[in-house]
Amino acid sequence: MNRPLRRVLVANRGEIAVRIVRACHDEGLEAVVAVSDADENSLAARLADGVVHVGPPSAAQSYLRVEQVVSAALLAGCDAIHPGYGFLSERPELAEACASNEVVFVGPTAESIRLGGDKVSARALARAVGVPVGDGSDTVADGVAGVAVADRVGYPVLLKAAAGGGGRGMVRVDDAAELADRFAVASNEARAAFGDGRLYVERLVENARHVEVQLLADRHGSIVHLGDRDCSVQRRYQKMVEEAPAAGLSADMHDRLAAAAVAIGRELDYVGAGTVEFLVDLDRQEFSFLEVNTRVQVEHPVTEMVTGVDIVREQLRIAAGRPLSFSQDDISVSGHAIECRINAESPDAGFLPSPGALDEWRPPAGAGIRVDSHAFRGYVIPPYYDSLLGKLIVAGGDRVETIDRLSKALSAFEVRGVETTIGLHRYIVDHPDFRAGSINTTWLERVLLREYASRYAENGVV
Amino acid sequence: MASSDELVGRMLVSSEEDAVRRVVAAFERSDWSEIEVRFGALRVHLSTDAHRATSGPVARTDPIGSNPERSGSADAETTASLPPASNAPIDVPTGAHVVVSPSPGIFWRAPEPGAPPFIDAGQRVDASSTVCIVEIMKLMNHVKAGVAGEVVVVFVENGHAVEKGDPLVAVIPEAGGAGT
Repeated sequence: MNRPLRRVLVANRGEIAVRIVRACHDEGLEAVVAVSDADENSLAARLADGVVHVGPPSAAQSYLRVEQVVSAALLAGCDAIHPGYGFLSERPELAEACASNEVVFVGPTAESIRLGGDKVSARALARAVGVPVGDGSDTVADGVAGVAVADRVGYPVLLKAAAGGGGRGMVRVDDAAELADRFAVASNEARAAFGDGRLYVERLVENARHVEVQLLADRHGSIVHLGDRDCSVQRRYQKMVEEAPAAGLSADMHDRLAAAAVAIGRELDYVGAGTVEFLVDLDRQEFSFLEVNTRVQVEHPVTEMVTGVDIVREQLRIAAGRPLSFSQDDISVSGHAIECRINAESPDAGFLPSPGALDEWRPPAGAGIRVDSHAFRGYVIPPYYDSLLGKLIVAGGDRVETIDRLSKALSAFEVRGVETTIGLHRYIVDHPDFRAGSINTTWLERVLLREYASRYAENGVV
Repeated sequence: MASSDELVGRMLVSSEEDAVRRVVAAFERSDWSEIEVRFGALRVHLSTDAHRATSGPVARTDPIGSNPERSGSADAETTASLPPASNAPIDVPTGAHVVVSPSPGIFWRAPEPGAPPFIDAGQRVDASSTVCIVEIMKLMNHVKAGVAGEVVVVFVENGHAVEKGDPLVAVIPEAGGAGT
């Protein structure tokens, strides 16, 4: 069980690759980074002990190929693979290929990934351990069956792909005619996107928060939670701002969410870092299970800032077979932390991607300020991958102090050469609704982005 | 930065051989069809393709230090199938309308993996027909033909990187057809 690691392949890029390289070094491990031709000179590549080339720029021909990543680990003499998030991190095939080649996969078993990744089976699992799931159904065969479910739970509903997740594969429908109309198309789209056309129906909760619980579990049966995060500030189901702990929930709600997440983690025989996502219905003061993410998340630093636990280092220790060095009683959440995702895109031009050379990159610094990024002055942001340029994470004694500090940090953040979301973030964190915590998952698109756009029109600022 | 060559150097010669042997063994017991990875001076290219391997997988482990064409050291078969580099001269048929890339990104010939391509040489298109997708930072931009006519050349291979302004597709406009 206990298998010391020596050299880890970082099978990812961008800020998370940098994060993992540093965690490896903190653990006394060598880090080799898998790079496409576009990432040969990345910050992660510079910081690592070595790089191994896995193919051309297109992720489909490099970072997304299990056989390339596993071969790279073997050739570079790595005894473990850390998949980061995205790319192959939730592909059971990678965990399986690691197992059959005696390489440690930094993550849960293929079986856990499969169960957690199939939304219908995850729903069933949650229900089996007494965790509420959204009003709705298991897989529905066709539009007629879908309408029957939707009539029962009430419109609007979401048609969701069983193999979807992370905001992908969801269609909102407002009445029976629309559901019947959209069903076949949605199923075909799911089949095209995920190779699986199964759909299920869930009541759409319009006034809700997205709250998730961080889990850590070792190979010795020990599982703890590190509290929750609120990720309700979303655009097109993509998170933009995250905070820990989730604001405005009762102590009882925090406890119930944590207990539900641990119950699901236990039932999955979970190993490693994982997250259980929930929807909290603000009108009914109820929560329901959304999905399990069987990997480290982009927003993990806010939890690190309020618990003092280094989640990526813990992943490496768990992968090496070591027991968790703390119990649930040792974990306490203190203060508050908020993360803003700095993307290379233009909020003033429909979030148009903005790759290119960074003429200036001067992140803020100071007490309670952390920047996780792969950017540096002179870096040329390639056009081939997602637009995440870095994350600004700020911590303070309470939410008010954190927001004040974050607002100043955003103002001090100087980036030139590409468009970024920094200005939009400043607008978000200074908004009275955000400061009051009176937001939900539709607030950003429904309220904030409209005000942001119209303010620009009034002031004539371009 | 410690170079990969240093790391390779730190591995004993026998462990270097071991590493290559492990890759070959993994390939042989898998259903993979091709892998190509490079670590410092070690390069392994394995393929089940009958054109490349006479019987079963063939390991090519050229020490790149002894190969002057470091990055161009792909096998001839692979090189032959590569499209021209983005700034290499291309043959544009006389009178053809060349559709160029609106941005840097990845060139996709089909709406999703496994689907039939939007267009092929010899096919007739309208000005509003999508001829390909150029993906920039996960945003899928459908590129239109711009003129009605017949597709005569597709310049780029599926999944390859393109720069802004790169020629993508050539269309011979229909006689009397309206241009852009």
